[in-house]
Amino acid sequence: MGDPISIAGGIVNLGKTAWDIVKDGKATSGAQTSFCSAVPANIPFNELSGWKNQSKEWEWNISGGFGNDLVEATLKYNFQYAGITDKVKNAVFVTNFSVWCVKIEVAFLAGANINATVKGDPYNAGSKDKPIAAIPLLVTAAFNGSNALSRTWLLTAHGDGSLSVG
Amino acid sequence: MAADPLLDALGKFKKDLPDELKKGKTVASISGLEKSINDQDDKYKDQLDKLLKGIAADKKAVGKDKDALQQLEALEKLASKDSDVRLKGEDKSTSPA
Repeated sequence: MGDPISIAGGIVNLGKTAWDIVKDGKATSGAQTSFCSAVPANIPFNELSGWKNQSKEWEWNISGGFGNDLVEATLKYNFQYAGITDKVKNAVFVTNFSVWCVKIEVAFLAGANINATVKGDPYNAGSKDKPIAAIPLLVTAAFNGSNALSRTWLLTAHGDGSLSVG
Repeated sequence: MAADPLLDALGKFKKDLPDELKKGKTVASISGLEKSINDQDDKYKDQLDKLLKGIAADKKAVGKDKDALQQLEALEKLASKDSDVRLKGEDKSTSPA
């Protein structure tokens, strides 16, 4: 008997590989419906069940030289985890992993852009016997004030519901 | 929020305005810049440019009037550096973890 993930055809991303979250200081409307996933290749999605939801907000804030706020953005991630199938024993998958901007204020023509890019392929972060599908998403926020600042967060969503930040 | 040196200087300039500058281009540009700074709007750089051009014009107009020239040069020094300081960002983000 082969390993469960190989039987399932490996773990694949059936969503997007990149999307804009904020463009020219404005939240992109399509970001909330853009997502990536880490699901089994050979198993129809409707055969996966047991999904649970995980989400959290965080802030991207850039403060100016006089304590003035140049960029105030609230970002949010959401993903569904714990997707299971009888065909891949003990494996948990992740889908609908999305990052979007809840609100943003940009002052003084400072300029702000944020995008999300899937970094590499989805993978098994667990073991051969207990696979945990995972997908890494790189979120990059760029600020163009007097000094160009950029900030990146590498968010990896896991099938067991955990999110690691690099 | 920390004190705003340019807003303070603009207020002081208006208050201590010498007669020869009362109808100058500098004072005419101040209210627009103050509004832009307070509102944090996208006209800030245009308003700042307008102030600096006004100061340059008034410097020529006042000629050798030492007091007026000193006030204009003090404001010019502060205003010319303002956007560099004001728009110099510091990252104060939280973590998604």
